[in-house]
Amino acid sequence: MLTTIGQLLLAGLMIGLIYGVVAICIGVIYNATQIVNFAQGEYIMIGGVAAWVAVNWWKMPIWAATLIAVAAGAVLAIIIERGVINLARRFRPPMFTYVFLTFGVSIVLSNLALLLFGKNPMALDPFLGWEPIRFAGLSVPSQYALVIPLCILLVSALVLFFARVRIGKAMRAAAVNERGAMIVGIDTAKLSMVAFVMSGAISALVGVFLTPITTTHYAIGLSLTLKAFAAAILGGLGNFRGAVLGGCVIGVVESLTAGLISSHFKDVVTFLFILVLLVALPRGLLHSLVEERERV
Amino acid sequence: MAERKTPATRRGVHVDPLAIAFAGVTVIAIGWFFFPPYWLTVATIMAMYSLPALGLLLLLGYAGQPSFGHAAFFGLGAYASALATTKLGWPSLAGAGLGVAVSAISAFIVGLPLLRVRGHYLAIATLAFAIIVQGLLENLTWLTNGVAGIGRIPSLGDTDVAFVITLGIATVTYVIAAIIDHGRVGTILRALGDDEIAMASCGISPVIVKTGVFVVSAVLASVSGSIYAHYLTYISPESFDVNASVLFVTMMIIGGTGRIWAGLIGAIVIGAIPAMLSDYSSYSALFYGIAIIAVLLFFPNGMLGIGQQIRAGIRSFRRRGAAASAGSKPE
Repeated sequence: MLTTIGQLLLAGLMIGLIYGVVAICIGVIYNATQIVNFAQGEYIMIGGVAAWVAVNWWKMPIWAATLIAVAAGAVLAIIIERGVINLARRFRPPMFTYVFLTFGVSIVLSNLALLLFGKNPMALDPFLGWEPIRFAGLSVPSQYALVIPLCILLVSALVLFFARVRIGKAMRAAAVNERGAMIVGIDTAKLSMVAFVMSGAISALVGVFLTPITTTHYAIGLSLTLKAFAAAILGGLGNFRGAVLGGCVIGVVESLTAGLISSHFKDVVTFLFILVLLVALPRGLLHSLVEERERV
Repeated sequence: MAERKTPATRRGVHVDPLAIAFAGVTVIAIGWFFFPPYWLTVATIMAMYSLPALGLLLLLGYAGQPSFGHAAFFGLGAYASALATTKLGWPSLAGAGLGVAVSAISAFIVGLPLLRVRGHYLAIATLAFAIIVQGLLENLTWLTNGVAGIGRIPSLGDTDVAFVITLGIATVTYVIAAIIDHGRVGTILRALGDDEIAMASCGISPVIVKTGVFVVSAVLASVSGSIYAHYLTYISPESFDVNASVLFVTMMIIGGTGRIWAGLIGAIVIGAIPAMLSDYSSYSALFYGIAIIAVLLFFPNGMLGIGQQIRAGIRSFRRRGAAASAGSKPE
């Protein structure tokens, strides 16, 4: 029983880290543009699907497939930022227009995937083989041993990027006070592009690593977006550590429900938990950059 | 950051309720005598969809909140009607009433806390709520019969009877909406869009008004769901998934948020599409997604805004032409 719970906790933390990374991606875009990107989860799907195509159709090694997937995520982000988001900017539309637009993008992407690849789940072999790793009495699938360090690495890299790198600092400045940032010469239009491309590429990368564990298919995007968004809100939108914490909480709840109660009710319980969290803690657990902006 | 005013709230809605009543009765009368059965079914579906479209329109136009989960309320209405009539033997009207009650209460519980904070919370929460309802419909097999669905729901009657009932309900709803819009409640609703803080200082709570609009929109979706159940006489959870929510959102966006009857226009356009695309039903969701993006990018005020946009275009073209000819003449 204890080992079962240990396994479930580990699986929950693993998937929770993924939610956390996607939540950070949503936060990065929100901070740079105040747009909530409802299509963020689709990049995970695109990453997995692109890698699957590269491995199965083009017979590429997995590292090359990963590169292809990341490139696909980045290119797609450029297309969407230039072709949809930027096109809408000429009307200076109210914020909810962007919510509908990104929601539309999400529908189009998932249904394109449905048309091109059908409903069957697409699987990849674990990168390190099927042999599980023994760790502290638990038998851990080898892919976990890649996903967990990858997510930790990505989060640390992002934290460093926003703390040390010039353009990262500019993005933080624009998040707190957009007009002030423009006055000191920050090109906020460029920041929007950087934010979209970064988020697209990172989500696609995570998508490739996730596929051997959960498989991928056309419909996974929206529920990933929702869970990641809930993680982002729980942690305080724009707060990275909070996003990871929120993601892990949601991942563990999901994993424990599936393992201990019933996998049929996994989504019901998880989303009920999310709904209760939204209702009870609409301002999140931790301090958020957004609140800082409101104070300015 | 103050909420930006939407065109809907600035322009106001102001449609004559008598005109709507007259139009509705005319269509019912003409349809009853002249429509072939196939047209009757298409018109019935359009009238059915015009209710949730109106609900979303009010929600966005007045409370400024998008919802991606109205399929949940649509589904609650349908299942309440189906269960009440098949398992409890209640009359249809009582079943629909049960659906309305369930939808209204759940909308109130979800909406009251979330409409207090600004941002995109309601969009997320409604989506989450829709997934919960969908999961319950699929997995509470003892109650809902799971994915197999519920059959043998009493029918509304023949095609023409269903047409008259559905169109009648839609007409009455739109007339009530127009009457309310002219009255005190309409003024309050417009005040909400114009200046929330000023409204709160007059002693009217914006949160309560927003929650009220959300509950009304849920009720409209629920009524539509009840009609759906009695119309098709068979329902399964599949009909109330994300795609149904997408459909409602698409209708609202295609119609435009300017006037009450924008919802009707969206429902007519969307209702006509399956009739035209019947061979391509697997493409429909893709089509809706593209429609949402295209309308928002090129006709941000929906179908209703197109005429205005063309007029503005002609005006600016003329002005440019006049300026050019004035410039060419040396004075």
